[in-house]
Amino acid sequence: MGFPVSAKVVRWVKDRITHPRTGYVKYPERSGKRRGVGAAIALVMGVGIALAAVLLDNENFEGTLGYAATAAAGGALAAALAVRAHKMSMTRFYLSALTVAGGAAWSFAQGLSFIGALGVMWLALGCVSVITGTIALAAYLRKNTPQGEPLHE
Amino acid sequence: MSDFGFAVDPNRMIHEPARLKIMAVLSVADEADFTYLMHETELTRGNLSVQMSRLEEAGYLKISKRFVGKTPRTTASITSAGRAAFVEYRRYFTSLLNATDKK
Repeated sequence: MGFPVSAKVVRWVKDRITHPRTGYVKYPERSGKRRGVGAAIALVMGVGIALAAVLLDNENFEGTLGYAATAAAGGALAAALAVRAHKMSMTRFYLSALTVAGGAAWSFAQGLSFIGALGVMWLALGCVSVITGTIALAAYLRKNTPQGEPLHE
Repeated sequence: MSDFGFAVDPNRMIHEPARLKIMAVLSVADEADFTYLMHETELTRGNLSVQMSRLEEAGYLKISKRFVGKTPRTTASITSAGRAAFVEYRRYFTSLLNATDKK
């Protein structure tokens, strides 16, 4: 339910904030094959984590398994954010990647379970996203003023 | 025969810098509105409007108007003829620039 709601919110915000200032553009959607590959990877990861928890009888991923899972998840998430930052040339995603890596390292040092470490990483990512997002939005609003409807006939 | 392919001229409808910018932006998008094109091409409102009309007359752009809520939105998209012409234009210059690499 979260995805349709967030999609509607994003569209509402774009219609009122970005489209009147820097315009509207629609890019071709990703092919069904590429979307399928992304969904398959997410499914495999989700099932893998759930299976590991059940088969290893360690629901919270505590101890050595938890540390390994924390390092793997923190590293993977930080790497994904860094790649996105590089592709989009957006410095604030590098900051997000660093924050996630820092959160994972801190959780590791504190000996938190995997579930606890995930909570720390998401909290850290959420906080840095809100702060950097607000700064970016303020800069965008300062730089771009709403344009009127075109004269084009 | 010229190594550079000068026997054929580039498509002058696309070759004009303002129109080239519009075609380049729209070649990677399904559609874009007037504000976005103005922002990306850095053309003035009047110039963008004139060049869009020329591209539309040439059959390279399709321009539509619709309302989003109470706000009018003018969008442009590249037609199949426009896409084919842009691909040909790219091919022309790619082969020309490649020829300069070999010299």
